Amino acid sequence: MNNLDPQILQFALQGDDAAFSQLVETYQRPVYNLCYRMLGDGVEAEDAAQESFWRAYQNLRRYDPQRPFITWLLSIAAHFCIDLQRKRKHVVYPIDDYMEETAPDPAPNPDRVVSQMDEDQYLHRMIAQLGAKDRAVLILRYWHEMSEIEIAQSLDMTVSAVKSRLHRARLQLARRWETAQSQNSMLERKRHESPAF
Amino acid sequence: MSHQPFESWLLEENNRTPEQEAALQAHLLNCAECRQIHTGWQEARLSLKSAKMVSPAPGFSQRFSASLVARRAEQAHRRQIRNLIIGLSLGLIATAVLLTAVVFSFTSPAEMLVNGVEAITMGVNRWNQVIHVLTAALQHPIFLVVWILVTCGVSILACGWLFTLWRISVQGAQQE
Repeated sequence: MNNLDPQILQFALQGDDAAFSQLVETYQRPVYNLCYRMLGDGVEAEDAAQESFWRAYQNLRRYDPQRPFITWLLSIAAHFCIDLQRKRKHVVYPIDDYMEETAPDPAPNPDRVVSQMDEDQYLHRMIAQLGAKDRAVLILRYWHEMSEIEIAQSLDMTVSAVKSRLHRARLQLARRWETAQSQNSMLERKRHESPAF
Repeated sequence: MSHQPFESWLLEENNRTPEQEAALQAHLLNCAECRQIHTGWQEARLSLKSAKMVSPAPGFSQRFSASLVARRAEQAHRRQIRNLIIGLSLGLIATAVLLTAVVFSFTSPAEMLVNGVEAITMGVNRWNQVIHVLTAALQHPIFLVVWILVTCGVSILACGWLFTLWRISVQGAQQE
């Protein structure tokens, strides 16, 4: 996903701005995606991603080369987003927000694209109802395919805490999904049944 | 009804043993709540697995490079101000230390103590004199009419001053 020349990282660690820009270019997508999934708004996600890269730039000396750079970067972004979530109490998710999926679609069928966008927004809204840390754990697990140990390292948690949060997040998601689906099907049935005279 | 360990089995991604699978299927037949969790999680999981990563708007790294220049300039400016404040503070402290050293080199501590006590005593005496003069002046009879006139005059002036202040503040807001 993010193949980075180790030399570029080395140059960036030595203070080379051009090399750091290359790092930004390479890791912009995962960092932005994490911020977007955490905050639910494109503009805020852009700001948060920019801020995360700036914080990484300022703290490059603290980076431990034994750890993957992306894990460290996502850790900064996740902590920043969790702090933001704590500061603002209510999360507003614009329904009309356009989900910009730039990954190439092998079959550009308009119906399929629309349905995929709807499903993604639906998932997005479901995830938005989780707590900030539970959401971060879920995003790192499913979008960034991190192991429980990597998530624990990124979020400064124990592995058992990660497992517990993952379990809680999945359970909440499953319950809400099922409830929402039942409500939707009830509405559909009501819409199609014949009126009572 | 107890939902454990079935709830955990449903939500974990580890492969279940055939015995666990059989026990889970038997439990699902009798437990509507676990069936709902099972269905909900299967759908949510599918959606999670198929969700794509979102990319930022084009030009993200260029925007970062531009903001990097601005932020560094701001940081340098802040560092300059901090250095200036530190320099000024050190200068003030050095001057104070120097002055104290000079004063102590010309005057002994005992002498300074005596001078200080003298100054305080003199200040108290002057204050008592002022109070005495004021009390003596107020003991003279002053006509009621003069008091009323003075009070009215001061009140009118105060009202005029307050009105002017109010008018200026309102006009200022209106102009903005």
